[in-house]
Amino acid sequence: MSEVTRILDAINQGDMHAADQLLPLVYDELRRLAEHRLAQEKPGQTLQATALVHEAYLRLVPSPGGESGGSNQLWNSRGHFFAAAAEAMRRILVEQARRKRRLKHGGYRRHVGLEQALNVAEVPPDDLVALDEALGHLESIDPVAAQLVKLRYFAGLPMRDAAKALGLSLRTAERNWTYAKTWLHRELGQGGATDASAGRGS
Amino acid sequence: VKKNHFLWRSSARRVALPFTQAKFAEENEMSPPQGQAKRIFLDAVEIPSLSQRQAYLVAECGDDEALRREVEALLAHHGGMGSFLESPATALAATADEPTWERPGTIIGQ
Repeated sequence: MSEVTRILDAINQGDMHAADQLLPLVYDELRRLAEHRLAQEKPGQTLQATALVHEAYLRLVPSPGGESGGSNQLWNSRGHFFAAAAEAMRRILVEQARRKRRLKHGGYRRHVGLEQALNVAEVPPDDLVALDEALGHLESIDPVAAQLVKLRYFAGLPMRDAAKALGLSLRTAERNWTYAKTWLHRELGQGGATDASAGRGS
Repeated sequence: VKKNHFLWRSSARRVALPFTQAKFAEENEMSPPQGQAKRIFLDAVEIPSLSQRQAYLVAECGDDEALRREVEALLAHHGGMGSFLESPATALAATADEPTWERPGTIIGQ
């Protein structure tokens, strides 16, 4: 039994402390995989996080063969794993965006290994950092919607899988996704404080 | 409503909720004002006719101006959102910089 499988079993049995051990393991594996894969790519080639996350899953959670846990437990485990992977990818990408921003403003570049090779291809670093901050605000008012964004946007999970990972019906997941996107779009678009919620004290 | 436990939802950011109401349970444990705006917004989005949508807002928000402004702001952004967040941002690119694999501690060749 792999260490991650052991941790997932412990979480499924209600040991919430085990959860603290999961994120660093998944984070390290994703970084290692990303570095290894990027070293094999031609410059300009991109690497999809979805592929990384699934590869990490296959490496860290070897299939038991019989899948004896039943699909509920399996999906619980997958849910915990993908949530950890989404959080790890978020951290990796946001750390990278912050670093790129510092390098840009600092006016020099130097070889820093993975830090330099890991580029967010589609989103400028400033935008990614802003998005992440907005996501933090969303998390404080709507943790499930924020979690869905992490799974969909940072881990690239299809809606159906993200819904399962969160234990939501597809319809509820779709609704949360619509709300999360719209809320974040507004939060980013307005630039400043969102007074609409601040005015609702009474 | 079944809920999953999530593990590293940052506790500092979580809002302690004094109560929950059944009508928010479908969406999740949000604070009431935002939960209400969310529900009304999501229901309104599904009403294609603008006049019916407006009537729905009036009926749901009553004289709560702030709530109606919140929902209307969400509706406006929903209309202009395009493909925002639709493709995962997590494409990583290999760069033309120096090789990245010859570092201490890097496992080579898997």
